[in-house]
Amino acid sequence: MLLRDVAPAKTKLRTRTKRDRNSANKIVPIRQQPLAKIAPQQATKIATPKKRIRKSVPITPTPIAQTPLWLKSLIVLNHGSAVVCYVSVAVALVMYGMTVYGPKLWTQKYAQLQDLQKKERQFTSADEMFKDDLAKNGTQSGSGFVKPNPEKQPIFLPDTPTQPIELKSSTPVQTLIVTPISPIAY
Amino acid sequence: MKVSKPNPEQQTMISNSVKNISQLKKSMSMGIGFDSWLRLILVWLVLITGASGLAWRLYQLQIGQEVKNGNGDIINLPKWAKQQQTSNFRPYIPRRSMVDSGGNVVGLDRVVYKVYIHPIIVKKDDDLQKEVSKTNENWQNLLADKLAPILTGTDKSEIIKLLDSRKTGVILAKNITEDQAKRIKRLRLDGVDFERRYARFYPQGELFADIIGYVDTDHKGQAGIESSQEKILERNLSDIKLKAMVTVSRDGQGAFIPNSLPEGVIKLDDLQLQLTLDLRLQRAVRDSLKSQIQKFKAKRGVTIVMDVHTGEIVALACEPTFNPNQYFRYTDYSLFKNWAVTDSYEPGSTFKPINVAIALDEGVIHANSRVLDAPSVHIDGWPISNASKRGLGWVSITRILEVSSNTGMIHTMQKVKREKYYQRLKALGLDQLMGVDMPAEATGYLKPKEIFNARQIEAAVSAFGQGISLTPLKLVQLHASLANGGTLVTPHVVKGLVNAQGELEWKPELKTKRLFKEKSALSVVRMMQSVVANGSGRAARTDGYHLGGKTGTAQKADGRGRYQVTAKITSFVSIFPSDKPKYVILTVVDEPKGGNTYGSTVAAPVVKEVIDALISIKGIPPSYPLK
Repeated sequence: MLLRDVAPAKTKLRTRTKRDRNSANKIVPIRQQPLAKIAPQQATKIATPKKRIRKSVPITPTPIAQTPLWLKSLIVLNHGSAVVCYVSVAVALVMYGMTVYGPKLWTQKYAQLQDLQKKERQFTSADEMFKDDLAKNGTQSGSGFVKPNPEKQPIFLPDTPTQPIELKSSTPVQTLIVTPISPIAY
Repeated sequence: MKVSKPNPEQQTMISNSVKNISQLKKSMSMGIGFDSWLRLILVWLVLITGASGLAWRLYQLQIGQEVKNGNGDIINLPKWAKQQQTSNFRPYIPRRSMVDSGGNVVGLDRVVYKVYIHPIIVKKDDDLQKEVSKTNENWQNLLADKLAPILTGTDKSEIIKLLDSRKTGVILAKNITEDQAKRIKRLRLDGVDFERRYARFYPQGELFADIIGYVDTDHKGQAGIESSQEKILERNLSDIKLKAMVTVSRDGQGAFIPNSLPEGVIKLDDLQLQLTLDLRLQRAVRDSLKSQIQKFKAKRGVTIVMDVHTGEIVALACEPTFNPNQYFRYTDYSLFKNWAVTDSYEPGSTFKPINVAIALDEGVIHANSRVLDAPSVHIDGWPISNASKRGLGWVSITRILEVSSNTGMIHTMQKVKREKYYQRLKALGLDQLMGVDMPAEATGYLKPKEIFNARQIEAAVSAFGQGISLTPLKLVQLHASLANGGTLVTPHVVKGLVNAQGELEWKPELKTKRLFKEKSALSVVRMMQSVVANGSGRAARTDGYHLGGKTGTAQKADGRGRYQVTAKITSFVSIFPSDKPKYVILTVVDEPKGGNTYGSTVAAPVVKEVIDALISIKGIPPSYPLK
């Protein structure tokens, strides 16, 4: 199974090497034209990219036939560990969310809640104290407030007969009769 | 495809690359070179050393569980971690607030702090020491300078005295607010401890004291609703631990781990205890009662306003009273009881309408019957006379009530069979609890059946409201049953639990019972209306409104079977408006001083003021148009 996993990688590698060789053959004639026009000193300078090509050559992977077993297993290990790495990063994020970020957020929100509760308490008591103070000041002489005088009764409006809202008679919606379908197994 | 021939330079390039490839092949077949091996081994070594270092540390922390700190002391890690990761947490679980029928908050929880200061630690505080060296002043002075502006009510010299009083555990302040505590915390002083607790706060002070009661330092209700409704107010938490400190886990950064918190810490409902009382009416009631008590130098007084249909107490005030915010300042503990519920008295003439209703119910008289009003009668050898010492002869039963005739009432009630009369009195529930929601309810007193039935005198004195006793609230309940057509409702002050939107989510179950026939009850209300229009209750009359009333001036028993010579208890009970009864108002003033002290002069004016207030607060339309 392991070998089968590695197999497509090998074929890919092989095709790339072939294409590289072909392209190297083709590139040469195309670069030839400018090189011919340039002075010999300059030509040596331009030769540097060729050196780079030369350097890159050793990196080309070895043909599969020559890949030793230890390398194969290392490649498998490489792939496997990558997967393990991704999974563990995901798990770590979830764990972080649950164990570190969650409590942190909760504590923050709890502090916020406490602050709001405190404000609520303070507003309520301040509001009631103001009202009480107003009422107390009102009873003092010179406050400008007077007790309601029963001689000067408040205005009471007579009851107006209100028309009860009548629902428009509408034809009742015919209910759709659905014949129940008994369960049948097919 | 045409391929041009390569020039010599290119040929050498090609040959070089071919050479390189062959070299590579060669080196690969031979293995990796020494340099590469060295590098590989070095990297491997570094990684392995690192990993084993980590493993060793892991072993130390997880298995060894002991490390040395900078001073060379061995630290037990689990203990250290536990210290760091657990903390005591006191969840915010306040007592429920109380609101009046209009939604005004009349009692709520506040967070207060008790501040301890440890002078021995405080004086070593780094910042303080720096300041001391800078200004060359002593530390007490500097600290007092900082604290005095925060602790209003304590001046600098007092703080200095406190700082010098002891080395540790000096109580700097007992009840400072959250903001004051925050300001002290901001000073970042070493050696200052805060003890957080809840304190009940009553914004209106003494206004509702008799009904609400107060809460002690342990946050336990000690009087009034605070005591009787403790279970509802305290939130019925299944987990008892929630009420005290809870140990919770924190993570390395000090954040709470929510899982470690007991369930229900955060999910607090928003229900408040709603009372049936009306803040504005209560204010009017207390003000008028208070001024009347002062005017007559009376011992005490009570005014009750109750809805006759529901039994909701709209206002209830006892005078003198106390300020629940400073309950600890009172030495007279009798102030803490609501004597409208806890003390019974002989109602006197205010009980006469109840008797008339019984007589009507039993069919011995009807609304237009005439009875004999003699100046005095002798019962079992006891002379009983009218207060006026006069008799009107044969008059209507309405007139008997108007002039508050004792002999007329005796004559009426003698028509009822004594056993039956006793049975009816028993049915009133004089010696039973009403089941009110205020604490320490007392029953009235009705003599045992044998004694009552043995002699005539018992029934005779009961006819004008003596020889029996009941609480002021019981009298209100009985009059309410007259007003509502004969149903005995349960007086109560707790409306229920309301949510933030003001919707009732729970309400107490209250019992009702039929007591009088509707017809008799209505007749009595009409008679009482006449008492105000033409009789002793004139003082309570308000233009534009029909109201029923009955005065009462009763002798007070001295507790040894005799009546006191001077002490009396005056009262006035009113049904308002009498054409469409809605409220019963009772004022009882105990031991008013002075000559002209009767129910009509002492209690009735209070009731009139309360009725005036009721008209404007509750918007009661007039019974007839004013001229």
